[in-house]
Order: sequence, then C-alpha cells, then structure tokens
Amino acid sequence: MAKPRLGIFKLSCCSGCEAQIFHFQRQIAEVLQNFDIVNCQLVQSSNEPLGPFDLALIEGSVTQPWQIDLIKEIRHHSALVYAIGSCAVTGGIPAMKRNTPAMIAEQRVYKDTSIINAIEPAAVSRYIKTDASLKGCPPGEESIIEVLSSILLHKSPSLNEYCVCVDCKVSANTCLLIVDNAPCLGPVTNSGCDALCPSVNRPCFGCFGPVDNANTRALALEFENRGHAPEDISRLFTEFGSASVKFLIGADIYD
Amino acid sequence: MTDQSITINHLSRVEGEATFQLSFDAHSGAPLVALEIFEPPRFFEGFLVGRSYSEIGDIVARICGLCPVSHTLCALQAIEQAMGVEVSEQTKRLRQLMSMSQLVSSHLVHLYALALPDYLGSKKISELLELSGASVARLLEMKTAANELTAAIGGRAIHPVAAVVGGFTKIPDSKKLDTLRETLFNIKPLAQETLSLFSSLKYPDFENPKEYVSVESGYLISNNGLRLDPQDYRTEFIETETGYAMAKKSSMTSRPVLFATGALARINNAFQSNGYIRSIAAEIGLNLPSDNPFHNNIAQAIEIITGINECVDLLSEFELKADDAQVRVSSGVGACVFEAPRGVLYHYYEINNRGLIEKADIVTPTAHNFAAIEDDLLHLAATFRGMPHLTLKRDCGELIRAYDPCFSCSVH
Repeated sequence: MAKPRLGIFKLSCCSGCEAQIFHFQRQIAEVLQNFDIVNCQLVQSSNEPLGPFDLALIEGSVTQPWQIDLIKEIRHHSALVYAIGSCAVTGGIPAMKRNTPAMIAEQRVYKDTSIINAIEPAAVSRYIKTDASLKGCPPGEESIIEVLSSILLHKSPSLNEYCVCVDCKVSANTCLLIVDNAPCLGPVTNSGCDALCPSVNRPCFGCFGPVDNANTRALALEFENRGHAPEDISRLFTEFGSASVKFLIGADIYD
Repeated sequence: MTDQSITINHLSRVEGEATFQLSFDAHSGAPLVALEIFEPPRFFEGFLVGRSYSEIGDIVARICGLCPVSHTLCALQAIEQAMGVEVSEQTKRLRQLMSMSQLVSSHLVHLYALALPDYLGSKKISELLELSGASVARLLEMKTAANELTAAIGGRAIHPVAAVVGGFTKIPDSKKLDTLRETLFNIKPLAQETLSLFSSLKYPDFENPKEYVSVESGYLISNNGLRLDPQDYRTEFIETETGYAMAKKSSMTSRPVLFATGALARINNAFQSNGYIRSIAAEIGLNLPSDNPFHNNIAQAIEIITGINECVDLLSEFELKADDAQVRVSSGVGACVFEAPRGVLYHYYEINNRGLIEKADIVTPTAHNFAAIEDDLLHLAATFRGMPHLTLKRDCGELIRAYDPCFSCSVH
C-alpha cells in the first residue's frame, strides 16, 4: 500500500514545531517511516511539485501576503490540513506585535522600512479552513505521534481539549493560584504539556493557547480580586496568541 | 559563452527561508553574490519594548526552535547584569549543562539530517532514515540522551521553562542526572564514530582566511587580538540593512578582514591552549587553525565529543541545593555575548525601574556570519569557476549549509 503523502510547511516562526517532529527521538522517527514526506524544506531538498498531500502540517503564523497564497495552494492540494503549534493555531508569539502599532514596532527594527511588506500576524485559520489544531509551543511529542498515527489508522486525531488544571490534578500538584496567589493561566490554557510549568513551581503562562471553552474574563477578574495589577494581567493574556479572541477578552477589559 | 549564473531558490536543509544567487559580471567576469534571506521578520525588538523582565526569557526562546536555550540564557544573563543579580555557581553550572546538551543536540541534527545528505547523495529524509540504518541508530541514541539532559534541567528540550532570572524554579532531580551522566558516558564511542564519519567525507579543497570571533569568560575574543566587553559591543560591531535580505549584515568597524563565528571559529581559537582538541585534530589529520569553512562540519563533530565530555564532567560530584539569587527589580542596562551552537549571540536590554523593557537589541550567529558566507561564496565561485555548473552549484549549497545557518534567528 502506498504510504500517505505528507507535506510540512513553515510560515513565520522559530521552526520549533518541525524541530519537535524531527527531534530524532525513537518514537516519532518510527512513525515518520510510514509516511512519504513529499515537501519539507527543513530536512530535504525538493524539486517536487506542491502536493497532492494526504496531510499537510503548517507551522507558523501568517505575517506576509505571499504566505496567504501559499497556504491557499496547500489547502487546494491537501485532503487534510492541520495547523501545528501556537503560531499557526492562535498567532503565537509573533502576534505579540499586535499590541504595538505596526509602524512603531517596525521602525524599532529597521531604518529603511520600505522593504517591509508585513501584514497583521494571524492564525492560519483566518485565511483557510483547517481540519484540526495541534496546540503547543511546541506541541508535545505524544500529540504529534497521535496526529501522525491517526492518519495511518484513518481516524480523527484525539487531542486533549481540556485545561492545564486537569493535568495538575492528575499530577497532584499544589495549586499555585490558590496557595501561592500566583497568576496562573492554567484554568484557561489548553493542556498537552502535562502541566509542565506548575510541575516546576511556576505559573502557566499560556504557551499552548486558550482551551476551547476558556472563560478568560472570569479568570482576569479573579486575578484582579487577588490584587494583581491590571497592566500585569493584560500582559499575561497578550504574551501568547494576541490574535486569539479568547485571550483578548482577558486583556481587553483593561484597555 | 554559456550562462554560468546559479540560482538556488528557497534553499533546503537549512533553518528558515533564503534564496541564493550567483552571477558573473558580463564585462569583468567577476562573480556577484547575494544571499537573499526572505525569512519574514517577526520584529522581536519591536514588541519586546514594554514587556516585563520576567517574560523575556520565555519570549526570546521563540526566536529559534533549534537553539532556544541560548536565547533564553543569553537574555537572562543580560537582564541579571542590568538589575545587578549575582547567580550562584550551581546556577551557572546547570545553565552550562543546558547549553552544552543543546549544542550537542543541535550539531547532531545539522550534521546527520541537514549536511550528510549532501555527501551521501540522498534526497529525501525517509531515504536517509532507511538507507543509513547504522548512522540513524547512532543519531537517535545520542540525540535522545542530549535532549533528556536539557529537559531534566529545563523542563523540556525545546523552549524550556525552569530557567528564570536569578536561577531555576525547580532544581533537577539528582537521581535523574546521575542516570543521564551514565547514559552520556556510554555514548562517548558514538560521538567518536560521528567524528570518524564526518572527518572521512570529502570536502572541497578551499580556503578563505578570516578573523575568528568567539566568547571567552564572557568577553568577545578573536585570533587577531580582539578583546571586547559585551557592554562595548556596539562600539565595534555594526549592522547594515542590505535591501535584498531581511537579516541585517554584521561587520566590525576597526578590523581589516571579515570575521566568522561558530564551531570552527571556537576550535580555531581554542586549540592552542587545549591539548585535547589538538590530539583529536591530529588523529583525524585536521590542520588547525583551518581556513576551510567546510571544516565547520568536522569542528561540530569535535564539539559533540567535547560537549558530551563536559556534560559528564559537570554532572560528576554534583550536590544540588536550593540557592536562587535574590531578584530585586531595578532599572539598568545589560549586555551578554553567548556561544550558541552556530556562534556568537548578543542580547542587550535597557530596563526601567518598573522592570519593563525600554530597548532591546539582538544579533544572532547567522547575522554575524552573513558577510563571511557571501564572501566565501564569492571566493568559491572565483576558485572553481571552470568546474561543471552543477558541481559548483552543489558546492555553493554545501558551503552555505556548512555554516549551519539559522535564517529565522538571523531575521527574528
């Protein structure tokens, strides 16, 4: 049987998701051997035409006009398109630029901004339909294996759609919000990290982006009741995924 | 005469996006080179302004998925300097372990997955995974051990979270570190095999002398007498916007020749005082210092050995205790130069009395190497002009790749 055809693409980001896929730890390498990796600029030379793909994975946020054309073309040639990583799913770190007027942010970096052709950083789903979102910065190895093996098993990937608090309870972590009064984003952040930060004694800072049913407004008010300064609360909700409406609701009440 | 110009559109097996153009002047025949780094800017220095000192380590990690540890640690040290925070010896040691384990891991990916296919002639990563079974098994075993060490200290290998201003949010599990010391000790022979493999590959016979810049005890040094406090970085190093690349091109103002940084620069600057490196080089017949940029591959293979050795040494007789430094928010200015896997990384921050960033300045290894890569390509084209077109094109690709460039970093 022919191996499923896989395309892996990078937009504006750090390549950390691809680095996680090609982490060269045993399990992912094993799963990858069952795929025909057609396009992946990071690890192979390719003169191959774009697609067709059984699965296209896109990492990175959209910050340039040409990227919109590229992802539309990828969509056209792919049975399934999954956004992988916080940048592609919610805009991620690059979307932090949205907190500053674009011109000011750009002039802080370049003297000559005439060659800049940047658009507002956005998630992939602003421009094309995506079939699943693999959250994380970077996504955990287990969820990458789940996504890839779901293709081999012809099923939908089963991804964690609950908040970090659940993982904290499973790990029997002390609640940093209640006990230490730390501004922890765990209650509104998607799990998949095994409650990594609380497990090393630091509050979650939301790197996996919002969980689907996040009540960010309630959490922001809770932080405020506990004495946290509005500007600190606002910063918390704008570090990861400023392009995601859910996190913005948490920040907007202070604007 | 046939058109000898070369274009490599959207270079593969490098991190990030760049296109390479080489042409020959119609009249003089002189080669013209442009490395068009079209990696989109994310404007880190633009949006870091106004963020809190406590967030910077996490944010700048996302400049690069291959060397996040370097960005985080470089930023933490610059911030600690700005706020007058003195970290403990234990913190320094744990940070060095994170840095070294990441260096081993980064070099492994570059050598086996990005560079090796040039020399094996394999096109697809799946072919590489299937064809060279032995080397892949070696890669997996070493990579897993290195990643596990970074993760044991930092929480995870890519974008670690436990290293913060002042120290660590949690000290690592001693038993885990003991086990990893043993694992790393046991993979030493695999590192030797890696060096044998990469020193046996046939590299073009090509030299282009440069000044080699590296970091020694927190200062920038070179083989030509440079010794610069990172606070004075901007008195010597400037960046130029090229108009054709989104990365800026770094140069030194007072020096006559171009400079390079990275594994080969480090080895070139270290071998005279380091007998171990000299003996390894002698074993494989590598003459140091080397002005052949392709030898960066061999230098990385040497650093995999010395990196693993250093991790094993640092993990020996290691008693851990909670000893984070006290952090008091204060205004100040801080700069740090740091040896990332690909070379010298520079972070600079101005912080106000509320702990918020007023100004950020970041220059990455690939921005430092930008001019050197182009100059090497020019000389390569001039030297091997008579060669078949495809051979020259392949050599140009191999040369760029030998630098292990990270274009996402270079633009950021």
